[in-house]
Amino acid sequence: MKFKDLKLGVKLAGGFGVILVIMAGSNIFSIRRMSAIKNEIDDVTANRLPRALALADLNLNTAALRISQLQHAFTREPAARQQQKDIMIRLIDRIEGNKDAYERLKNESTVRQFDSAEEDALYAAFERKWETYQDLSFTFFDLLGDNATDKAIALLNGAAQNIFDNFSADLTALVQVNKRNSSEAARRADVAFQSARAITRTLSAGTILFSAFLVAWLARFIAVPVRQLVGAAKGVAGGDLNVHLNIDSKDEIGNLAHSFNLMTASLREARERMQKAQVQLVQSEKMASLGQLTAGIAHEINNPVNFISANVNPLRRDIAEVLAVLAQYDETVATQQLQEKFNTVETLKKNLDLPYLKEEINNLLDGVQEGAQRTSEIVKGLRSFTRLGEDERKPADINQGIESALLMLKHQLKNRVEVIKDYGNVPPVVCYPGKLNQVFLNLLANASQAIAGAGKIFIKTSCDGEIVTIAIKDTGMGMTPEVRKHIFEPFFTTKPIGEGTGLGLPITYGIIEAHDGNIEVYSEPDQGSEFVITLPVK
Amino acid sequence: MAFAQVAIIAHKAAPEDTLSHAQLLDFYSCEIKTWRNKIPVVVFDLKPVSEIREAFYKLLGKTPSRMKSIWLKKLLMGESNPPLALESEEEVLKKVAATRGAIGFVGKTKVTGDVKIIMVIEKKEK
Repeated sequence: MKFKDLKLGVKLAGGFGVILVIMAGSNIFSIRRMSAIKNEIDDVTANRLPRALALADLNLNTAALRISQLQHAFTREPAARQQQKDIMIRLIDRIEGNKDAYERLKNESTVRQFDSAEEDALYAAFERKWETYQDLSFTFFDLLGDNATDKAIALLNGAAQNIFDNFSADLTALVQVNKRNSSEAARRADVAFQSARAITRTLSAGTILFSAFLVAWLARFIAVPVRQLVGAAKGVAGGDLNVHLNIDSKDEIGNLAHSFNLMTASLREARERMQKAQVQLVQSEKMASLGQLTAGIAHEINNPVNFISANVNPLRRDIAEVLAVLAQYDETVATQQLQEKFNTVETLKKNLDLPYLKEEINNLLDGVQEGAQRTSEIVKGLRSFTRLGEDERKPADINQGIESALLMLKHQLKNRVEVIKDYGNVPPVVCYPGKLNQVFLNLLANASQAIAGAGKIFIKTSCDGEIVTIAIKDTGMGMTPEVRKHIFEPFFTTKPIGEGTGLGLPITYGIIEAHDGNIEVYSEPDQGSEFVITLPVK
Repeated sequence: MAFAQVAIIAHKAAPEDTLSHAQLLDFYSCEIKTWRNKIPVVVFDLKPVSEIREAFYKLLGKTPSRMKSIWLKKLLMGESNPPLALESEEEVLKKVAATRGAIGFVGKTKVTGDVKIIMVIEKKEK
């Protein structure tokens, strides 16, 4: 498990735990160092110095003993002698006390690094010499007892003096050793203290630095994602649903960011769906009202057009009959020599220019007939736009329908437009086959017309089981967004007057809608257009 | 190493056949001056530094110089004279055998029938 996947609480506890451990560790280290130093210093004050003092005192007491022995030898008065004896007894007690103190302190010392063979050797030498001095003392008192005072004094000033000087030197050396050790211990303690202080300082500084670093790092782990979240939330509040948070940690913030991303995604999707539905609603409302309107118009126009269509032929016949009478009249006039009488009529007729009149009447009638026919075609178109339930629904092959539409357009496409087909495996669709064929014909004809010179038409069909998709794409001139908005409205056309009815795509739209399908257009100027139809298989 | 066995010996007429450690120390530090039968205790020391001597003083629990301080004090207090320090174990044997109330120490191997062994120290060499 990575650090970033841990819970916030664990991250915080971990971070502060590390700081705590480091601080505790450095403190324990310092305390241990300091207590070691304290032990050394304690040993110096409580052991080394008293030891040196005991030795120095021992030296003084042995000297005092010798002086007391001499004074004892020199004096003759029993009281003075007794006094010296008492002094000597006390001195021997002191000497024993000094030795006890020294030996006890030496055993009790807790710091052993200064113990040296030198000290042991010196003390052993002192002991041996001191024993010898004691033996000499026995001899000295023997001599005094035998009243050989001179010999006794000579002994004290001779052999005893030598041995005394000898062990006194040993004791002095011992004091020196202990003094040296003490100052060495003090020096070492000082050095240790200095280094412990330096280490403690370094550790403290290090701990502070590390803590600061750790806090900053934790803050980055926690604060930075929170800031990102806040920014993203503000963005969403401002309507920007395209925010996405790239926080992939597994902690609470990571979870929050993940939920946030899901939320914005579903909001985005809902908004898109809503916008689409809105457009579709507007479009179908428009189409519905337009359908009603055009149905009404078609009905209204159809009646007068019927009058015209119905009247033209009888009128033509009637005029022909009138003209036949006129012709018969002409013949009669020529044969019966009624020249005079009819000269006037002839003049009128000449003024009338009958041949021209005949031609004009025919032309007028042709125009009326043509107009009526075209009007009725429009009406027929409008009807098929508004009314669909004319043929029966039955399963039909979509690919075949497209093929038949292409066949009808063959002469338009030939040698000019290349058709690239990509037919998928499409099941038969329950539909109004004639109407769908009309849709394909419309769309393919439009595509062909959109291509000015040479170009290509791509046809692709596919099926995902329930929905059949038909895409017809051309490499033609394309259209502007403004045009694209209106192409499904009746009578909207970009073609020259007289060439397009403006009903092709509205009819197509109506047919697809009647099939519960959908038609979408993708187009940019000069980029061609693509119509995508989706139909349920049913 | 070898066991240097020390025998603490007494005059044949000594009333005790054995001595406790405390009694031995009391005899040597001149705290007890007579035997049970009022015969004065005469203590002998051995002068030359030897294993035997070392083992003996170790048993006493005091170094020779510590013992000598005690003897010096007793001498100054007029209580008793320090024990006579003899030059050899043979001399100790001879003196103990010849002196009533005497006590001394020698190597166990040196002991003869002229004296009585009242204690044996089996000193273990380090």
